[in-house]
Amino acid sequence: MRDLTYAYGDYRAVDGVSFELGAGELVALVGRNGAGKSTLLECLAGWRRPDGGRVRFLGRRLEEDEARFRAGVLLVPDTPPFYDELTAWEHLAFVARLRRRPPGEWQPEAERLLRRFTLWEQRNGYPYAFSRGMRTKLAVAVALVARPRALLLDEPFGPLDPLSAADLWEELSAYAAGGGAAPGSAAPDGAGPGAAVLLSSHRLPAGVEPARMLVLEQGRLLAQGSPDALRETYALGEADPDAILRAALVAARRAQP
Amino acid sequence: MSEAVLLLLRLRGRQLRAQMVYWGRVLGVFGPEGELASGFQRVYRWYIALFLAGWVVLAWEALLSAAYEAPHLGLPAVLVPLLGHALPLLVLLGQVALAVLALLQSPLQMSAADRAYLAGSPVSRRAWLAVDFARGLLPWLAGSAPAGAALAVLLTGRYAAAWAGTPAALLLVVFAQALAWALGLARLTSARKTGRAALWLLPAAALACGFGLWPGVRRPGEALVRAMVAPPGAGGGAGAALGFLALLAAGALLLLLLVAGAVDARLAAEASAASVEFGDMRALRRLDPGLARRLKRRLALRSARALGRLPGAEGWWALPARVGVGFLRQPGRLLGLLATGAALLAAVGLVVRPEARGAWMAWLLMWLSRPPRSLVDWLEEAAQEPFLRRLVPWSALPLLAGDALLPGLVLAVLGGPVAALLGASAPAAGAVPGAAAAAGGGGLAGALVALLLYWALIALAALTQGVAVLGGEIGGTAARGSADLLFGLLAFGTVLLLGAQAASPLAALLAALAFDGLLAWSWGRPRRAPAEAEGEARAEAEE
Repeated sequence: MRDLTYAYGDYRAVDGVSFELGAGELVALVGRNGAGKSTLLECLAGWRRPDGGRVRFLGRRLEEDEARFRAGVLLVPDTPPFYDELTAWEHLAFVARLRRRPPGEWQPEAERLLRRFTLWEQRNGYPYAFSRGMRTKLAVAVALVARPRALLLDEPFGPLDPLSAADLWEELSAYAAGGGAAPGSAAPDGAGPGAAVLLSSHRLPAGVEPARMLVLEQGRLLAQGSPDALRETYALGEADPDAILRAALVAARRAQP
Repeated sequence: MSEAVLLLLRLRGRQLRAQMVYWGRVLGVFGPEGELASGFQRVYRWYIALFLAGWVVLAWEALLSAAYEAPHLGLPAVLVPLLGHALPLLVLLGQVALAVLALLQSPLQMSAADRAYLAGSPVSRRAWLAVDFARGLLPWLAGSAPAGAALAVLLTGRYAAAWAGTPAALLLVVFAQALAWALGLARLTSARKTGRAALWLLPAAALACGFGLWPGVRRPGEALVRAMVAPPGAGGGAGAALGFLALLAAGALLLLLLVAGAVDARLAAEASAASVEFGDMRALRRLDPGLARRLKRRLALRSARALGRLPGAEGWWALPARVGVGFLRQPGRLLGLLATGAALLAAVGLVVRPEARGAWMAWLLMWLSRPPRSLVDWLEEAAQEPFLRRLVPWSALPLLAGDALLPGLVLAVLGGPVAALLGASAPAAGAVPGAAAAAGGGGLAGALVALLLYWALIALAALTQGVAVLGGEIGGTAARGSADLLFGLLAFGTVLLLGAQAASPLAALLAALAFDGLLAWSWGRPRRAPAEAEGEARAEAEE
């Protein structure tokens, strides 16, 4: 992604942001409320048309090969929508079929995910009757069954309890390491194993240590790097990743004339 | 693609079934959710389905009987053949209305789940849009089948005509809807095409063709009438008409599929979300108009990216496109304008016959009490709306030209024959010395002078109202009421006095043109820049 810009009228929600995501990377996009995280993710996922800049997936823009882009990039929004007429299991089936995954491949995976996210008992229930946390977990399960090469998640930890958040983190880490292609098969696009996972959050749960962090403020990228490198930059010692966001904001404020 | 079609058909089928069950529950036909799964409820559902099928057959028969009996039940005999003659034009009007709706609101209405699962997936756009088109078509088919059958029976007085009328109406609806969808989706194929003038002008162009420029656009409606009224065993007249309609429908479907493959899902999702929100606003308007207006302003500002790509205020086509769309959106305005045109023609008649001075004085008073407005009215509304204010043509000249030319074009087609009749019935010489001198006498001269005067008068109407509205509302320079009266009295009074007292339509025309020049010159004063006005509008909306 290079020089991405998106404005709501005069207000620039995303202002010249550039970074790259590699296969197997799990990256956290952190920032305060209104920093532009959701807008940035929606631009990346091809839900919004950026005003400027370019998003490339495996070297090609959405306009150049939309089917490939849509097959490879998937966003789980902050408030995941569901069809009122489909049960939790039917949602998984619908998305797997849309992406032409054979039943023998997706069904065991879907069952494992629902059990992991304690949704197996509710698989025949309708998502409109689920709690917000359950809906988020179901949306992540649906996304993982779709097996995109680039998975984007907007505030996935927000409505989750600590145990569910830890489970989700483990699943995402495992997916980043080996996802994006069916288990045991080569990646269809020749990009190597693993998937790029980018999740946004204004607060990372305890124990979550992403490979890289991107700090966004007022649509601009303030800092990026591994948590250790950022701790060193801001002299934070052993502080948790949340402290990095605070330190980056303070540093940015001091740097202003 | 076929796999995707099946999957989507199953999804939409589930949604349709859920909708029917919901309405069944609302109407008390079905019980709560638990009961619906019981064996008894399954049988009961079949019973309801059979009952409805029987009801449909009986209702169909009753409708055809009513259509058959209508001419014998006091319906004026002249109406039926008139309807037959007017039908091709009415069909064209319907087609144009559908096309305009498809342009204004995305024909594809996506739910939030559609946006997440379908727009964000690699599913074939053609498969998706074909299924949604079919779903949107269902209620139209359900409505057009009985309408076509009843119309055929009414026009022919034969029950058997329903057999041809029904498929003809169905094919016509498929053609019209597919064409409208193709047009609506064409603007969603790329951001550059959303405001392309050619797309927005197409419905207006079709309308203009239908009113005389190229009557070929009325052929679908003519084929419908032919299929309905062809006598049985008349050498396959109905068959040929049905074949023609089937060809049209197939062509339009093909075009739709071609366009559907290129639709940008991001544009479609944005347009769909915005039009759904605007749709919700309509309901709110009935409950709380003030709140709806405030919310609409904010929404319009927010949705400018999706829906704000109407033709802007730049380029030669901006005004006709804006007004053309305006006419089609609010046909009442067009009717009002036609009524004004008729009044103007009557006034021209008065000028041509100066002996009726009392009549034209009354007419002048009527004019001053409620001056005719068209474009300026819209522009006044547009100036109140921050979003629309951007579309107001800022140069006075195209505004004036548009206000005079557009109604003039419409009236030249519709009112031309009336003017010719007026001119032909006017005395060739003596009573109208100016006209006679100018054009050598005769009916044609009278008609030409009448039309010239008409144009001058309508240009003046635009000028006076335009000065008042734009001067008062945008420039903030003049009090509107007094400007209306002052310019109205000055311009119309002088022109009509010259026309009647000096008995010279040419003198009246010259006076009108002089006023045009004077007012256009006074309009050349610098006003606030559009950007400044827009900034203020935004601040106002944010408040």
